Amino acid sequence: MPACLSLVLALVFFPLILRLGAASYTSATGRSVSPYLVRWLVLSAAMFVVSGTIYVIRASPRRDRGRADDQPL
Amino acid sequence: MNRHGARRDLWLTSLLGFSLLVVIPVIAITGLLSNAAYDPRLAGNVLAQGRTLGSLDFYLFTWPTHPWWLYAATQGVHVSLGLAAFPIVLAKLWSVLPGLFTSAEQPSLARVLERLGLVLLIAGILFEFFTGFFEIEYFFPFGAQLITAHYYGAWVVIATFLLHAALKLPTAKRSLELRRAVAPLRRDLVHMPPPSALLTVVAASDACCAEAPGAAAPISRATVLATAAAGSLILLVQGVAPVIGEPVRRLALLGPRGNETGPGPNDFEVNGTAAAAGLTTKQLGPGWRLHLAGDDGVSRDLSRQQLRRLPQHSYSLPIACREGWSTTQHWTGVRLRDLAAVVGTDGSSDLNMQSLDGATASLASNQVADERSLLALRVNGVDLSPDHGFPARVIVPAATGVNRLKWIDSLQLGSAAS
Repeated sequence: MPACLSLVLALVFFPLILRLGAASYTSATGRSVSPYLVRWLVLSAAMFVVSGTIYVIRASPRRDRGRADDQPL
Repeated sequence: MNRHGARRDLWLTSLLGFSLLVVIPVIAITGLLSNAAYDPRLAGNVLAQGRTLGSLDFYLFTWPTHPWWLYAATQGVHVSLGLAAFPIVLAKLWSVLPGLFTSAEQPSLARVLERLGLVLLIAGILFEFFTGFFEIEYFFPFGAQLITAHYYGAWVVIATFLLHAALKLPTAKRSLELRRAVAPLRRDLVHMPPPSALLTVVAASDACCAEAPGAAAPISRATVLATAAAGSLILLVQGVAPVIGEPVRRLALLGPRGNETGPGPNDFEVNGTAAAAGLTTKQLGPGWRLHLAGDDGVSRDLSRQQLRRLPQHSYSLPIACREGWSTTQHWTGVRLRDLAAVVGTDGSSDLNMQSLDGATASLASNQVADERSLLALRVNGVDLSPDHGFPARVIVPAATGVNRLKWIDSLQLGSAAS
Protein backbone atom coordinates (compact mmCIF):
# COMPACT_ATOMS: atom_id res chain seq x y z
CA MET A 1 0.00 0.00 0.00
CA PRO A 2 2.71 2.56 0.79
CA ALA A 3 4.59 1.56 -2.36
CA CYS A 4 1.41 1.98 -4.34
CA LEU A 5 0.71 5.42 -2.83
CA SER A 6 4.29 6.49 -3.37
CA LEU A 7 4.02 5.44 -7.01
CA VAL A 8 0.76 7.35 -7.49
CA LEU A 9 2.30 10.51 -6.00
CA ALA A 10 5.31 10.07 -8.29
CA LEU A 11 2.98 9.70 -11.28
CA VAL A 12 1.21 12.94 -10.42
CA PHE A 13 4.19 15.01 -9.36
CA PHE A 14 7.07 13.64 -11.45
CA PRO A 15 7.58 16.95 -13.31
CA LEU A 16 8.31 18.65 -9.98
CA ILE A 17 10.22 15.72 -8.46
CA LEU A 18 12.42 15.29 -11.53
CA ARG A 19 12.67 19.11 -12.00
CA LEU A 20 11.42 18.90 -15.59
CA GLY A 21 9.86 22.36 -15.54
CA ALA A 22 12.52 23.94 -13.32
CA ALA A 23 13.00 27.10 -15.40
CA SER A 24 9.30 27.91 -15.81
CA TYR A 25 8.63 27.01 -12.16
CA THR A 26 11.24 29.48 -11.00
CA SER A 27 10.12 32.26 -13.32
CA ALA A 28 6.53 31.81 -12.17
CA THR A 29 7.03 31.43 -8.44
CA GLY A 30 10.42 33.02 -7.78
CA ARG A 31 11.45 29.81 -6.02
CA SER A 32 13.62 26.80 -6.68
CA VAL A 33 11.95 23.52 -7.60
CA SER A 34 14.66 21.55 -5.77
CA PRO A 35 12.83 20.63 -2.50
CA TYR A 36 10.33 18.33 -4.19
CA LEU A 37 12.56 15.27 -4.64
CA VAL A 38 13.42 15.24 -0.94
CA ARG A 39 9.81 15.89 0.07
CA TRP A 40 8.60 12.98 -2.03
CA LEU A 41 11.25 10.69 -0.53
CA VAL A 42 10.37 11.80 3.01
CA LEU A 43 6.64 11.37 2.41
CA SER A 44 7.22 7.91 0.92
CA ALA A 45 9.44 6.91 3.85
CA ALA A 46 6.80 8.19 6.31
CA MET A 47 4.10 6.12 4.62
CA PHE A 48 6.26 2.99 4.85
CA VAL A 49 6.90 3.66 8.54
CA VAL A 50 3.20 4.19 9.30
CA SER A 51 2.25 1.09 7.31
CA GLY A 52 4.95 -0.98 9.00
CA THR A 53 3.83 0.19 12.43
CA ILE A 54 0.22 -0.76 11.70
CA TYR A 55 1.37 -4.16 10.47
CA VAL A 56 3.45 -4.83 13.58
CA ILE A 57 0.60 -3.81 15.88
CA ARG A 58 -1.85 -6.03 14.02
CA ALA A 59 0.50 -9.00 13.88
CA SER A 60 1.26 -8.72 17.56
CA PRO A 61 0.40 -11.98 19.41
CA ARG A 62 -1.05 -10.01 22.32
CA ARG A 63 -3.98 -9.10 20.10
CA ASP A 64 -7.09 -11.23 19.91
CA ARG A 65 -6.90 -13.58 16.98
CA GLY A 66 -9.65 -14.26 14.53
CA ARG A 67 -10.78 -10.71 13.95
CA ALA A 68 -12.23 -10.08 10.51
CA ASP A 69 -9.83 -7.21 9.84
CA ASP A 70 -6.79 -9.02 11.17
CA GLN A 71 -4.68 -8.75 8.08
CA PRO A 72 -2.04 -6.37 6.80
CA LEU A 73 -3.47 -3.19 5.39
CA MET B 1 -9.53 -16.27 -8.60
CA ASN B 2 -7.48 -14.35 -11.08
CA ARG B 3 -3.77 -14.77 -11.02
CA HIS B 4 -3.15 -11.61 -9.01
CA GLY B 5 -5.03 -13.18 -6.15
CA ALA B 6 -6.72 -9.86 -5.58
CA ARG B 7 -10.37 -9.13 -5.18
CA ARG B 8 -11.66 -7.68 -8.39
CA ASP B 9 -15.41 -7.78 -8.57
CA LEU B 10 -18.44 -5.98 -9.81
CA TRP B 11 -19.25 -4.49 -6.44
CA LEU B 12 -15.85 -2.81 -6.13
CA THR B 13 -16.09 -1.54 -9.71
CA SER B 14 -19.61 -0.25 -9.10
CA LEU B 15 -18.67 1.54 -5.91
CA LEU B 16 -15.72 3.27 -7.60
CA GLY B 17 -17.94 3.96 -10.61
CA PHE B 18 -20.59 5.66 -8.51
CA SER B 19 -18.04 7.87 -6.77
CA LEU B 20 -16.72 8.92 -10.19
CA LEU B 21 -20.29 9.52 -11.34
CA VAL B 22 -20.40 12.27 -8.72
CA VAL B 23 -16.84 13.58 -9.01
CA ILE B 24 -16.29 13.69 -12.79
CA PRO B 25 -19.34 15.90 -13.56
CA VAL B 26 -18.23 18.37 -10.87
CA ILE B 27 -14.74 18.51 -12.40
CA ALA B 28 -16.24 18.95 -15.88
CA ILE B 29 -18.62 21.72 -14.84
CA THR B 30 -16.01 23.68 -12.86
CA GLY B 31 -13.65 23.29 -15.82
CA LEU B 32 -16.20 24.73 -18.22
CA LEU B 33 -16.85 27.54 -15.74
CA SER B 34 -13.14 28.31 -15.78
CA ASN B 35 -13.26 28.66 -19.54
CA ALA B 36 -16.21 31.04 -19.16
CA ALA B 37 -14.29 33.02 -16.53
CA TYR B 38 -11.52 33.62 -19.04
CA ASP B 39 -14.11 35.28 -21.27
CA PRO B 40 -12.28 34.44 -24.50
CA ARG B 41 -14.80 36.55 -26.42
CA LEU B 42 -12.76 39.58 -25.37
CA ALA B 43 -9.87 40.33 -27.69
CA GLY B 44 -7.05 40.71 -25.19
CA ASN B 45 -7.67 37.56 -23.21
CA VAL B 46 -5.09 34.85 -23.22
CA LEU B 47 -7.20 31.90 -24.26
CA ALA B 48 -8.56 33.71 -27.30
CA GLN B 49 -5.07 34.32 -28.65
CA GLY B 50 -3.81 31.73 -31.04
CA ARG B 51 -7.15 30.06 -31.60
CA THR B 52 -10.41 31.09 -33.15
CA LEU B 53 -13.60 30.49 -31.27
CA GLY B 54 -15.31 27.35 -32.52
CA SER B 55 -18.74 25.87 -32.02
CA LEU B 56 -17.59 24.32 -28.74
CA ASP B 57 -16.97 27.80 -27.32
CA PHE B 58 -20.41 28.84 -26.22
CA TYR B 59 -21.14 31.24 -23.40
CA LEU B 60 -24.41 31.33 -21.59
CA PHE B 61 -23.63 34.21 -19.29
CA THR B 62 -21.20 37.01 -18.56
CA TRP B 63 -18.77 36.10 -15.78
CA PRO B 64 -20.05 37.83 -12.61
CA THR B 65 -18.08 39.75 -9.98
CA HIS B 66 -20.12 38.31 -7.09
CA PRO B 67 -19.31 36.55 -4.87
CA TRP B 68 -15.73 37.80 -4.75
CA TRP B 69 -14.34 34.30 -4.09
CA LEU B 70 -16.15 32.74 -7.05
CA TYR B 71 -13.18 31.79 -9.24
CA ALA B 72 -11.03 30.84 -6.25
CA ALA B 73 -13.77 28.36 -5.29
CA THR B 74 -14.64 26.93 -8.71
CA GLN B 75 -11.04 26.52 -9.78
CA GLY B 76 -9.95 25.27 -6.35
CA VAL B 77 -12.61 22.58 -6.64
CA HIS B 78 -11.61 21.79 -10.24
CA VAL B 79 -7.93 21.26 -9.46
CA SER B 80 -8.37 19.60 -6.04
CA LEU B 81 -11.00 17.13 -7.24
CA GLY B 82 -8.99 16.56 -10.40
CA LEU B 83 -6.06 15.48 -8.24
CA ALA B 84 -8.25 13.46 -5.87
CA ALA B 85 -10.02 11.63 -8.71
CA PHE B 86 -6.78 10.25 -10.14
CA PRO B 87 -6.34 7.33 -7.66
CA ILE B 88 -10.05 6.50 -7.95
CA VAL B 89 -9.77 6.28 -11.73
CA LEU B 90 -6.62 4.15 -11.43
CA ALA B 91 -8.37 1.81 -8.99
CA LYS B 92 -11.40 1.62 -11.28
CA LEU B 93 -9.20 0.80 -14.27
CA TRP B 94 -7.42 -1.85 -12.24
CA SER B 95 -10.73 -3.37 -11.20
CA VAL B 96 -11.89 -3.85 -14.79
CA LEU B 97 -8.52 -4.66 -16.32
CA PRO B 98 -9.24 -8.33 -17.17
CA GLY B 99 -12.62 -7.37 -18.62
CA LEU B 100 -11.08 -4.82 -20.96
CA PHE B 101 -9.39 -7.53 -22.96
CA THR B 102 -11.99 -10.26 -22.95
CA SER B 103 -15.25 -10.36 -24.82
CA ALA B 104 -18.20 -11.95 -23.09
CA GLU B 105 -20.56 -10.91 -25.82
CA GLN B 106 -20.92 -11.64 -29.50
CA PRO B 107 -19.33 -8.93 -31.64
CA SER B 108 -21.94 -6.50 -32.90
CA LEU B 109 -22.00 -2.93 -34.14
CA ALA B 110 -23.30 -1.71 -30.79
CA ARG B 111 -20.56 -3.63 -28.98
CA VAL B 112 -17.85 -2.22 -31.25
CA LEU B 113 -19.12 1.33 -30.74
CA GLU B 114 -19.28 0.80 -26.98
CA ARG B 115 -15.67 -0.45 -26.91
CA LEU B 116 -14.55 2.44 -29.11
CA GLY B 117 -16.20 4.89 -26.74
CA LEU B 118 -14.49 3.19 -23.84
CA VAL B 119 -11.06 3.47 -25.45
CA LEU B 120 -11.68 7.18 -26.10
CA LEU B 121 -12.89 7.66 -22.51
CA ILE B 122 -9.83 6.01 -20.96
CA ALA B 123 -7.37 7.75 -23.28
CA GLY B 124 -9.21 11.05 -22.86
CA ILE B 125 -9.40 10.96 -19.09
CA LEU B 126 -5.70 10.08 -18.72
CA PHE B 127 -4.88 12.87 -21.18
CA GLU B 128 -6.94 15.33 -19.10
CA PHE B 129 -5.23 14.23 -15.89
CA PHE B 130 -1.72 14.61 -17.24
CA THR B 131 -2.27 17.87 -19.14
CA GLY B 132 -3.77 19.21 -15.89
CA PHE B 133 -0.88 17.96 -13.76
CA PHE B 134 1.70 19.35 -16.21
CA GLU B 135 -0.03 22.74 -16.24
CA ILE B 136 -0.01 23.18 -12.46
CA GLU B 137 3.59 21.95 -12.28
CA TYR B 138 4.90 24.32 -14.98
CA PHE B 139 6.00 21.45 -17.22
CA PHE B 140 5.27 22.31 -20.84
CA PRO B 141 6.56 19.46 -23.03
CA PHE B 142 4.27 20.42 -25.91
CA GLY B 143 4.71 24.17 -25.83
CA ALA B 144 2.02 26.58 -24.75
CA GLN B 145 -0.91 24.62 -26.18
CA LEU B 146 -1.54 22.63 -22.98
CA ILE B 147 -4.69 24.47 -21.96
CA THR B 148 -6.24 24.41 -25.43
CA ALA B 149 -5.59 20.66 -25.60
CA HIS B 150 -7.03 20.24 -22.09
CA TYR B 151 -10.15 22.13 -23.16
CA TYR B 152 -10.87 20.13 -26.29
CA GLY B 153 -9.90 16.86 -24.59
CA ALA B 154 -12.56 17.64 -22.00
CA TRP B 155 -15.30 17.45 -24.64
CA VAL B 156 -14.11 13.98 -25.68
CA VAL B 157 -14.25 12.88 -22.04
CA ILE B 158 -17.66 14.47 -21.40
CA ALA B 159 -19.24 12.80 -24.44
CA THR B 160 -17.77 9.34 -23.84
CA PHE B 161 -18.35 9.59 -20.09
CA LEU B 162 -22.07 10.23 -20.63
CA LEU B 163 -22.26 7.28 -23.02
CA HIS B 164 -20.37 4.99 -20.62
CA ALA B 165 -22.45 6.06 -17.60
CA ALA B 166 -25.72 5.55 -19.47
CA LEU B 167 -24.69 2.06 -20.62
CA LYS B 168 -23.24 0.87 -17.32
CA LEU B 169 -25.53 2.49 -14.77
CA PRO B 170 -28.08 -0.38 -14.75
CA THR B 171 -25.32 -2.95 -14.19
CA ALA B 172 -23.71 -0.91 -11.44
CA LYS B 173 -27.02 -0.29 -9.68
CA ARG B 174 -27.82 -3.98 -9.85
CA SER B 175 -24.50 -4.87 -8.31
CA LEU B 176 -25.02 -2.57 -5.34
CA GLU B 177 -28.56 -3.89 -4.90
CA LEU B 178 -27.14 -7.39 -4.98
CA ARG B 179 -25.18 -6.72 -1.87
CA ARG B 180 -28.41 -6.06 -0.02
CA ALA B 181 -30.68 -8.67 -1.54
CA VAL B 182 -28.58 -11.75 -1.21
CA ALA B 183 -28.98 -14.96 -3.13
CA PRO B 184 -31.43 -15.38 -5.98
CA LEU B 185 -30.06 -12.82 -8.35
CA ARG B 186 -27.42 -14.95 -10.01
CA ARG B 187 -29.10 -14.81 -13.40
CA ASP B 188 -28.34 -11.08 -13.51
CA LEU B 189 -24.62 -11.59 -13.18
CA VAL B 190 -23.89 -12.41 -16.79
CA HIS B 191 -23.01 -8.79 -17.51
CA MET B 192 -19.66 -8.72 -15.86
CA PRO B 193 -16.65 -10.25 -17.56
CA PRO B 194 -14.54 -12.20 -16.77
CA PRO B 195 -16.50 -15.30 -15.74
CA SER B 196 -14.10 -15.89 -12.84
CA ALA B 197 -15.34 -12.64 -11.30
CA LEU B 198 -18.89 -13.99 -11.14
CA LEU B 199 -18.02 -16.24 -8.23
CA THR B 200 -16.60 -13.24 -6.47
CA VAL B 201 -19.78 -11.27 -7.00
CA VAL B 202 -21.79 -14.03 -5.43
CA ALA B 203 -19.36 -13.91 -2.54
CA ALA B 204 -20.05 -10.20 -2.30
CA SER B 205 -23.06 -11.00 -0.20
CA ASP B 206 -20.58 -12.19 2.42
CA ALA B 207 -18.80 -9.72 4.60
CA CYS B 208 -16.87 -7.26 2.50
CA CYS B 209 -13.45 -8.31 3.75
CA ALA B 210 -13.92 -12.06 3.87
CA GLU B 211 -10.88 -14.11 3.03
CA ALA B 212 -10.73 -15.10 -0.62
CA PRO B 213 -11.43 -18.76 -1.37
CA GLY B 214 -8.59 -20.95 -2.56
CA ALA B 215 -5.23 -19.26 -2.72
CA ALA B 216 -4.87 -16.68 0.03
CA ALA B 217 -5.47 -13.26 -1.42
CA PRO B 218 -2.66 -10.82 -0.54
CA ILE B 219 -4.81 -7.86 -1.51
CA SER B 220 -8.29 -7.55 -0.09
CA ARG B 221 -11.02 -5.34 -1.43
CA ALA B 222 -10.72 -3.29 1.72
CA THR B 223 -7.06 -2.71 0.93
CA VAL B 224 -7.81 -1.63 -2.62
CA LEU B 225 -10.46 0.78 -1.39
CA ALA B 226 -8.27 2.05 1.46
CA THR B 227 -5.33 2.63 -0.87
CA ALA B 228 -7.48 4.51 -3.37
CA ALA B 229 -9.06 6.55 -0.57
CA ALA B 230 -5.72 7.37 1.06
CA GLY B 231 -4.18 8.38 -2.26
CA SER B 232 -7.23 10.45 -3.03
CA LEU B 233 -7.07 12.16 0.37
CA ILE B 234 -3.35 12.97 0.10
CA LEU B 235 -3.88 14.45 -3.35
CA LEU B 236 -6.98 16.34 -2.19
CA VAL B 237 -4.86 18.03 0.49
CA GLN B 238 -2.30 19.02 -2.16
CA GLY B 239 -5.09 20.84 -3.97
CA VAL B 240 -7.14 22.24 -1.09
CA ALA B 241 -4.38 23.50 1.21
CA PRO B 242 -3.16 26.19 -1.24
CA VAL B 243 -6.75 27.48 -1.51
CA ILE B 244 -7.25 27.76 2.24
CA GLY B 245 -4.00 29.66 2.61
CA GLU B 246 -1.55 30.13 5.50
CA PRO B 247 -0.60 28.20 7.51
CA VAL B 248 -2.48 25.20 6.06
CA ARG B 249 -0.80 25.84 2.69
CA ARG B 250 2.33 24.08 3.88
CA LEU B 251 0.44 20.78 4.17
CA ALA B 252 0.63 20.67 0.38
CA LEU B 253 4.11 19.16 0.59
CA LEU B 254 4.15 18.11 -3.04
CA GLY B 255 1.73 20.72 -4.36
CA PRO B 256 3.43 23.35 -6.53
CA ARG B 257 2.22 26.10 -4.18
CA GLY B 258 2.77 24.42 -0.84
CA ASN B 259 5.78 26.49 0.10
CA GLU B 260 6.42 28.48 3.21
CA THR B 261 5.96 32.21 2.69
CA GLY B 262 7.68 34.95 4.66
CA PRO B 263 5.98 37.30 7.13
CA GLY B 264 6.26 40.54 5.08
CA PRO B 265 3.27 42.34 3.52
CA ASN B 266 4.46 41.38 0.03
CA ASP B 267 5.43 37.81 0.95
CA PHE B 268 2.52 36.01 -0.65
CA GLU B 269 2.49 33.72 -3.66
CA VAL B 270 3.82 35.24 -6.87
CA ASN B 271 2.69 34.25 -10.33
CA GLY B 272 5.38 35.48 -12.72
CA THR B 273 8.31 37.41 -11.29
CA ALA B 274 9.46 40.83 -12.49
CA ALA B 275 12.83 39.31 -13.39
CA ALA B 276 11.19 36.63 -15.54
CA ALA B 277 9.10 39.31 -17.28
CA GLY B 278 12.36 41.05 -18.20
CA LEU B 279 11.43 44.35 -16.56
CA THR B 280 14.11 46.95 -15.87
CA THR B 281 14.43 49.33 -12.92
CA LYS B 282 14.02 52.18 -15.39
CA GLN B 283 10.63 50.87 -16.55
CA LEU B 284 9.45 50.55 -12.94
CA GLY B 285 11.08 53.84 -11.85
CA PRO B 286 9.70 57.36 -11.32
CA GLY B 287 9.42 57.91 -15.09
CA TRP B 288 6.55 55.43 -15.26
CA ARG B 289 3.22 56.80 -16.53
CA LEU B 290 -0.16 55.15 -16.81
CA HIS B 291 -1.42 55.63 -20.35
CA LEU B 292 -5.17 55.97 -19.99
CA ALA B 293 -7.40 56.22 -23.07
CA GLY B 294 -11.16 56.64 -23.40
CA ASP B 295 -13.35 55.38 -26.19
CA ASP B 296 -13.71 58.73 -27.94
CA GLY B 297 -10.06 59.72 -28.33
CA VAL B 298 -9.58 61.32 -24.91
CA SER B 299 -6.32 60.22 -23.29
CA ARG B 300 -4.32 61.07 -20.18
CA ASP B 301 -0.90 60.10 -18.86
CA LEU B 302 -0.86 59.79 -15.08
CA SER B 303 2.14 59.46 -12.78
CA ARG B 304 2.02 57.32 -9.66
CA GLN B 305 1.77 60.47 -7.51
CA GLN B 306 -1.23 61.67 -9.51
CA LEU B 307 -2.88 58.29 -9.12
CA ARG B 308 -2.26 58.42 -5.37
CA ARG B 309 -4.11 61.76 -5.21
CA LEU B 310 -7.26 60.23 -6.74
CA PRO B 311 -9.77 58.72 -4.24
CA GLN B 312 -8.22 55.55 -2.78
CA HIS B 313 -10.27 52.47 -1.86
CA SER B 314 -9.30 49.23 -0.11
CA TYR B 315 -10.73 45.74 -0.50
CA SER B 316 -9.65 42.23 0.48
CA LEU B 317 -9.68 40.20 -2.71
CA PRO B 318 -7.97 37.01 -3.87
CA ILE B 319 -5.52 36.40 -6.63
CA ALA B 320 -7.08 33.18 -7.92
CA CYS B 321 -4.98 31.21 -10.36
CA ARG B 322 -6.16 28.68 -12.90
CA GLU B 323 -3.60 26.36 -11.28
CA GLY B 324 -6.06 26.11 -8.39
CA TRP B 325 -4.26 28.05 -5.66
CA SER B 326 -5.40 31.42 -4.42
CA THR B 327 -4.30 34.03 -1.92
CA THR B 328 -6.50 36.78 -0.47
CA GLN B 329 -4.78 40.09 0.31
CA HIS B 330 -5.81 43.63 1.21
CA TRP B 331 -5.41 45.88 -1.84
CA THR B 332 -5.54 49.69 -2.03
CA GLY B 333 -5.84 51.76 -5.18
CA VAL B 334 -8.06 53.69 -7.58
CA ARG B 335 -11.39 52.32 -8.78
CA LEU B 336 -11.34 51.37 -12.47
CA ARG B 337 -14.65 53.18 -12.96
CA ASP B 338 -13.12 56.36 -11.50
CA LEU B 339 -10.31 56.07 -14.06
CA ALA B 340 -12.92 55.59 -16.79
CA ALA B 341 -14.55 58.82 -15.62
CA VAL B 342 -11.18 60.65 -15.86
CA VAL B 343 -11.23 60.09 -19.63
CA GLY B 344 -14.94 60.85 -19.88
CA THR B 345 -16.19 57.30 -20.28
CA ASP B 346 -19.32 56.02 -18.56
CA GLY B 347 -19.55 52.64 -16.86
CA SER B 348 -20.61 50.64 -19.92
CA SER B 349 -17.22 50.16 -21.57
CA ASP B 350 -15.00 47.09 -21.68
CA LEU B 351 -11.34 47.56 -20.80
CA ASN B 352 -8.28 46.48 -22.77
CA MET B 353 -5.15 46.37 -20.65
CA GLN B 354 -1.51 46.14 -21.60
CA SER B 355 1.40 45.59 -19.26
CA LEU B 356 5.03 46.73 -19.50
CA ASP B 357 6.12 43.23 -20.54
CA GLY B 358 3.66 43.23 -23.45
CA ALA B 359 0.99 40.99 -21.91
CA THR B 360 -2.62 41.86 -22.66
CA ALA B 361 -5.96 41.08 -21.09
CA SER B 362 -9.50 42.42 -21.33
CA LEU B 363 -12.22 42.99 -18.78
CA ALA B 364 -15.94 43.02 -19.52
CA SER B 365 -17.99 46.11 -18.68
CA ASN B 366 -19.54 44.54 -15.56
CA GLN B 367 -16.03 43.96 -14.19
CA VAL B 368 -14.96 47.53 -14.89
CA ALA B 369 -18.13 48.90 -13.28
CA ASP B 370 -17.77 46.95 -9.99
CA GLU B 371 -16.78 49.29 -7.16
CA ARG B 372 -14.22 46.75 -5.88
CA SER B 373 -12.31 46.61 -9.19
CA LEU B 374 -9.11 48.51 -8.56
CA LEU B 375 -5.95 49.71 -10.17
CA ALA B 376 -4.04 48.68 -7.04
CA LEU B 377 -0.99 50.69 -5.97
CA ARG B 378 -0.52 49.20 -2.52
CA VAL B 379 -1.09 45.90 -0.76
CA ASN B 380 -1.39 45.19 2.98
CA GLY B 381 -0.51 48.82 3.75
CA VAL B 382 2.70 49.10 1.71
CA ASP B 383 3.62 49.73 -1.92
CA LEU B 384 3.39 46.72 -4.22
CA SER B 385 6.66 44.85 -4.63
CA PRO B 386 8.03 44.52 -8.19
CA ASP B 387 7.02 40.84 -8.20
CA HIS B 388 3.46 41.82 -7.30
CA GLY B 389 3.12 44.37 -10.08
CA PHE B 390 4.69 47.68 -9.00
CA PRO B 391 3.97 50.45 -10.02
CA ALA B 392 0.32 49.36 -10.45
CA ARG B 393 -1.72 46.24 -11.04
CA VAL B 394 -5.37 45.53 -11.75
CA ILE B 395 -7.41 43.54 -9.25
CA VAL B 396 -11.00 42.44 -9.92
CA PRO B 397 -13.36 40.42 -7.69
CA ALA B 398 -14.13 36.82 -8.76
CA ALA B 399 -11.90 37.06 -11.85
CA THR B 400 -9.12 34.73 -12.95
CA GLY B 401 -5.53 35.68 -12.10
CA VAL B 402 -4.32 36.29 -15.64
CA ASN B 403 -7.18 38.65 -16.39
CA ARG B 404 -5.75 41.03 -13.79
CA LEU B 405 -2.47 42.26 -15.17
CA LYS B 406 0.57 43.45 -13.25
CA TRP B 407 2.98 46.27 -14.23
CA ILE B 408 0.19 48.12 -16.04
CA ASP B 409 1.34 50.21 -19.00
CA SER B 410 -1.94 51.25 -20.59
CA LEU B 411 -5.66 51.02 -19.96
CA GLN B 412 -7.87 51.48 -23.01
CA LEU B 413 -11.62 51.78 -22.49
CA GLY B 414 -13.97 50.77 -25.28
CA SER B 415 -15.33 47.66 -26.90
CA ALA B 416 -13.18 44.59 -26.33
CA ALA B 417 -15.20 42.14 -28.43
CA SER B 418 -12.95 40.03 -30.60
